[in-house]
Amino acid sequence: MNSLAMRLGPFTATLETPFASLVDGLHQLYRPELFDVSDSFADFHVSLAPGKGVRRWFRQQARFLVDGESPFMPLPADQALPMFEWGLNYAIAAQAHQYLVVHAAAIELNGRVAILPGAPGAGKSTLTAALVQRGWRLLSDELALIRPEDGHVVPLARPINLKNRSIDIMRDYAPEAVFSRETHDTAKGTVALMRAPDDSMRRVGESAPVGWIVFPRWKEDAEARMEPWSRPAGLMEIAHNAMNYSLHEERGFNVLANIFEQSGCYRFTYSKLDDAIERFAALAASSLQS
Amino acid sequence: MTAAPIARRIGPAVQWRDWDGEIVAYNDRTGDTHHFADLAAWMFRLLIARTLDESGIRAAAEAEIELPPRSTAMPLSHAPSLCSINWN
Repeated sequence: MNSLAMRLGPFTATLETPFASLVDGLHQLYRPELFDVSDSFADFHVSLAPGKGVRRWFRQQARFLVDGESPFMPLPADQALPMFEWGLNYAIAAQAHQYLVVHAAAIELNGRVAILPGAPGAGKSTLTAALVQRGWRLLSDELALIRPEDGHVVPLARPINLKNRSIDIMRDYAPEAVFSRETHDTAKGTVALMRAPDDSMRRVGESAPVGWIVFPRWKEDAEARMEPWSRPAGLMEIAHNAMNYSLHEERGFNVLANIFEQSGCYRFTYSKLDDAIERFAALAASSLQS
Repeated sequence: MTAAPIARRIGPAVQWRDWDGEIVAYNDRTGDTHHFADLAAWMFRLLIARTLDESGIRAAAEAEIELPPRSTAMPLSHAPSLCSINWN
């Protein structure tokens, strides 16, 4: 049995698993110091256990358990690494109510955060992966953690989950980046995890205020366009994408309203990553001038 | 017997922001968040500022925009379809 503890932004998780390939995968994707956890307290006690009955040996399965509960159906054992990452997303979204948790990527440049909510297929993760390979700091790929006390986004710099065509696109775009091996035939198709840039993992203790909320949409052959959008409409969309907005009640509304008060709200359509990088650079530069 | 006119206003349980002529509001009584634009935003602003009954709202609307003669005007009972917030 393999046991480890790791720091994931503001959280600590422990993992027990017999799957050595999962442990190897995590060491490939996270910086070594993130496994150097002396605190005995953990927010999440995770285990990736073998399947039951014949599934221990025949078409071996993995079961995800967090704090003894098993929220998902078992998956083939070769999906243990993405399952660990998806399961952690679930655990954070279900339990981390000290934050307003929004289903969105978050990246930072010059001390200001861009929140990128996106429906599946909108190209959010691909865009995020490209931006963090070109100077933006990764705070999160899937879950933006907003601290209600000050509206800052708290980093959760974990690997970026790439799917299907995005994997090859990013391998071409950032050949120096580190990728996990591909896992085929998952519920999301073929997936691979891209390691967060080292600088993002090193600065995982540095929160930052929101400067922009950008709703991205990838559209074949579209010219890159960053259009200002209605802040009330944007707030409604973010509230819809928040995992625990209703739990925060009036405070949740005021946190989001204050963020929109101080931030630009945009819709962004793109097809080419280089054009997207340019538009985001212009966005960051314009806020420095204003 | 004729029912007394119902006075309407937007109560203190509603938090709201007004940006670029549109309003987003949170009703703490229901936990719902609403987005109002155009006529609904106008009526929201009206009822934040004052308590009005049906005739008062109609008079304010007539002063603000050109409405058809009263006989053909839409009854105010249809207003919830324009503005779905719970008044309290």
